[in-house]
Amino acid sequence: MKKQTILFVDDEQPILSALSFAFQRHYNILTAQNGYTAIDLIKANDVQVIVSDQRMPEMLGHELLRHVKEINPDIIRILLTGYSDLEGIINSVNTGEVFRFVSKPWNTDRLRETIALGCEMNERFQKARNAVSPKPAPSSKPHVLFVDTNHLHLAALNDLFAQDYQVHLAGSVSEAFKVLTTTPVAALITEVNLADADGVDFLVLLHEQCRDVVPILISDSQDSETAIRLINEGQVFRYFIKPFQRKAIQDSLKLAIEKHFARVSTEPVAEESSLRITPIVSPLSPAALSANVSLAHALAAARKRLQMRPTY
Amino acid sequence: MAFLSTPWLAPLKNFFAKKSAVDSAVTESRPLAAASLSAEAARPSPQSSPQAVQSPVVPPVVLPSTDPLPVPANETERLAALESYNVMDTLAEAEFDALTKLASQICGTPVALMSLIDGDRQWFKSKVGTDATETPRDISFCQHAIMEEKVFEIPNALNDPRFVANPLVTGDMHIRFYAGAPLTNADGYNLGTLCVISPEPQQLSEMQKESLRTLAAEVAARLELRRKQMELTRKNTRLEETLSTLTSTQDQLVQSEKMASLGQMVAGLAHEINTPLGYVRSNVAELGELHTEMKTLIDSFRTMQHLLTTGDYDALAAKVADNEAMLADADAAFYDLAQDRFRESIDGIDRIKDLILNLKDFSRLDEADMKKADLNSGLDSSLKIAGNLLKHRIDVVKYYGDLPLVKCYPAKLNQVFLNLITNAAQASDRTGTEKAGTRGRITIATSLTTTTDGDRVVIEVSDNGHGIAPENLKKIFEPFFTTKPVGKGTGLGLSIAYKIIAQHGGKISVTSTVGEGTAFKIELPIAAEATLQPSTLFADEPTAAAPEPALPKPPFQTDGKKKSADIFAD
Ligand SMILES: Nc1ncnc2c1ncn2[C@@H]1O[C@H](COP(=O)(O)OP(=O)(O)OP(=O)(O)O)[C@@H](O)[C@H]1O
Ligand SMILES: [Mg+2]
Repeated sequence: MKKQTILFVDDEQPILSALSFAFQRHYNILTAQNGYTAIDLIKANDVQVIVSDQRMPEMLGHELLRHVKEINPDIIRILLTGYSDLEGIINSVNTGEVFRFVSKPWNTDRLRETIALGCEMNERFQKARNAVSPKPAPSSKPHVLFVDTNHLHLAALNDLFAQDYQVHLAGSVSEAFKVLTTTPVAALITEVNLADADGVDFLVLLHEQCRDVVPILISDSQDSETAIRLINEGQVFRYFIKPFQRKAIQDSLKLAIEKHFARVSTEPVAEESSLRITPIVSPLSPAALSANVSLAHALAAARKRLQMRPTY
Repeated sequence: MAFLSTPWLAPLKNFFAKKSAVDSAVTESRPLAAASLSAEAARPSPQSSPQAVQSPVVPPVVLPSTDPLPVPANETERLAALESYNVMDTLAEAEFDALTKLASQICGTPVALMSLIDGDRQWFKSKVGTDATETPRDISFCQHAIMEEKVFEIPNALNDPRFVANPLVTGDMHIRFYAGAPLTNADGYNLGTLCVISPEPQQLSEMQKESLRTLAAEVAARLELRRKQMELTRKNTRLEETLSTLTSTQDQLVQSEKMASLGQMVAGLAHEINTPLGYVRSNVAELGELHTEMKTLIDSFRTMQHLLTTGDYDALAAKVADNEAMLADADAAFYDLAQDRFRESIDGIDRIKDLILNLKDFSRLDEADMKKADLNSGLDSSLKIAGNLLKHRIDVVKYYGDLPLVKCYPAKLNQVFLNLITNAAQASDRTGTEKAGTRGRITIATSLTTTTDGDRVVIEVSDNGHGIAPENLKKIFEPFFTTKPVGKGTGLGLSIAYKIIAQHGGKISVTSTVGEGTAFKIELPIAAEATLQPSTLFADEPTAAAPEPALPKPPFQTDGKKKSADIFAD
């Protein structure tokens, strides 16, 4: 089998040496000490995964990843972040530049698994691009779900979207799962502060149980830790800070729905199974989740599974 | 006769009762005819009969007036003015009592009062010859007196229709003579009166009236003074309160500035440490795997050695073939690389060790006292701490002179150095400016100069940054002056630096040209005078340790309540 190509970018030579040393037996390795060299290498080679440091002279890591995405969106982008690289992290969530955030010092085994997963994702993306997939044009208005404990917010969102979508409202996570078990929801907007669960936990569980639903999170404040979890564990689509422009959330929901239909028309993504990992706790069925009692249990179990998972 | 049983009348009543008992012999004839019209009619006075007998003349009967009670035209404003003195129902004050007493002496009356008239009563701020504290306004003589500018005088109340039926006249208090001068304030409001009262008819001489007016003016002036004093005290208290909140706010800010720079420092250091930690960890993990491979190879060689000695050649041949496959997998170049990874890992560990040593040097937490320190190395450790800011962006040029050791608080001076370096780095950062192609540069020079004051160390930190506008140049050492965005700068850095340098008996100055750069110069005496805290020799000495300033309040937290509108920015 042809070896896949990984590009490492860091201004510190010892970091590049260490990464090459760890990965060269399984991959073709390219290295660059700055963004410009990295872009040249991307253009000249068939690269599957790029792992870039965030803090570099001239071009910051997330800026490099944005260029890479423009050049070839199939390349899986991983950002290596140091302790004080908060800037960039949050923005990169919304521009969708990053597949995973990996903080220094990294765990070689987890990075290995993450890169392996990245290569698989890359392959799947390329296949999906080549396969002429007729998009199943939705015959009726797509279903969207809004989750918030504040009914005023729910009403405001309902007013904004009721015309274009079939809107469902939920005041809690358990109510949300009731809707999710009975309705083919395309996209979801949820507040991070919910009464019966943390919004990020909710999205993590959602990502595990209802992969086709594209999630958008609303929060009061920016927090890089939340942002990292949202990307690495919840694969959130957008992260909104209140207050935001109506137009912005309308556009995002539209994109989220497009993404949903693109997802359902390609083969299902199953990250863990492809990596031969048996979950410690078997995932609960969405039906089981609708029962209030098991919600906390399900969230805890999802969190535990995430801790056990081999990738970042 | 409800008014007689009311408590406010009791003292006055008692006074006049006693008074009239003693003086009954000389009391003027009482108008018996009037008694039938007065409230007193129901209760015959014991004194009335002999008095009536002694009296040869029957005075004319005066009928009580039915005129409405007088009210000043500017009553609302007058009441507001009175209110502003905050004097009603306050304790007696000696200065007023002295004036009241003088009034009674000058006018030759047993009673004198300083009476203030509010909406429904007259209240006596000062009194002589009575224990009364107040009476209702509608029976007061003073309500009439405040209608006038001159002295209001009633020689004999029994002859005046306005007072003939007044309970203060007909009752036990037995007022006959009254004279009151208004207390007129600066705005022309009559707040009350200074009045003199007697149970016998009387008439004031012109001189007495004049004196009463003068005394009233004096009382009014004192009232004014009293108000101003109270206002001053109030303002002063408010100022003191403001000052104390300001001081504590400043303490909090200084504290949070320290926390913020500590936070910045920790973040920078953590970043610096995580980089070598990253590759060391990765290398060690990988070399560990390599070690496992080598161990398998060594085991296999051991087996081959054993087979060789035991002469089991068939098994040996199989083992050799095995081994060859294994060796083919492990290419020699990879093993050579391992050598480099070991070397780099040790370098990385040294880098971390240096950083930690530096942190210790920089903070010198173990040294609360003054000690002799090498300022060049203090500058170096400050530079290393700021390294994260400088890396890739700014060149640092050092011209260190030979310096003697300087007696100082090393950690405090390092804080000053870090501040100057941070400011210079922030001013010289070219990313995102039109000078993006060129590089920022910080020059640090140290030297020793001899002045009339003795040897001094000079430290200059200059940069080729954006410079400081002339109008800002004199403000930069002021606390809270900053041109940096919220969150980037508190504006305390240089004010703290100024304080620290002054503590060391040194000077800090600045020169700057907009667009060219800025230079800060610090001069320090080699042996600072002990303008610093006096050292405590004895452990049992009472220490004047300042209380820990309160930590800044946690940042604003939103409560659960949200309005529907607050989720949309438009
Ligand atoms: N080297 C310099 N070049 C240009 N301007 C400077 C320089 N040093 C100080 N200043 C100006 O002086 C101001 C006050 O500096 P100071 O160190 O007191 O506060 P700050 O740097 O704004 O905030 P902080 O030190 O709390 O981060 C700065 O905001 C800046 O405008
Ligand atoms: Mg500063």
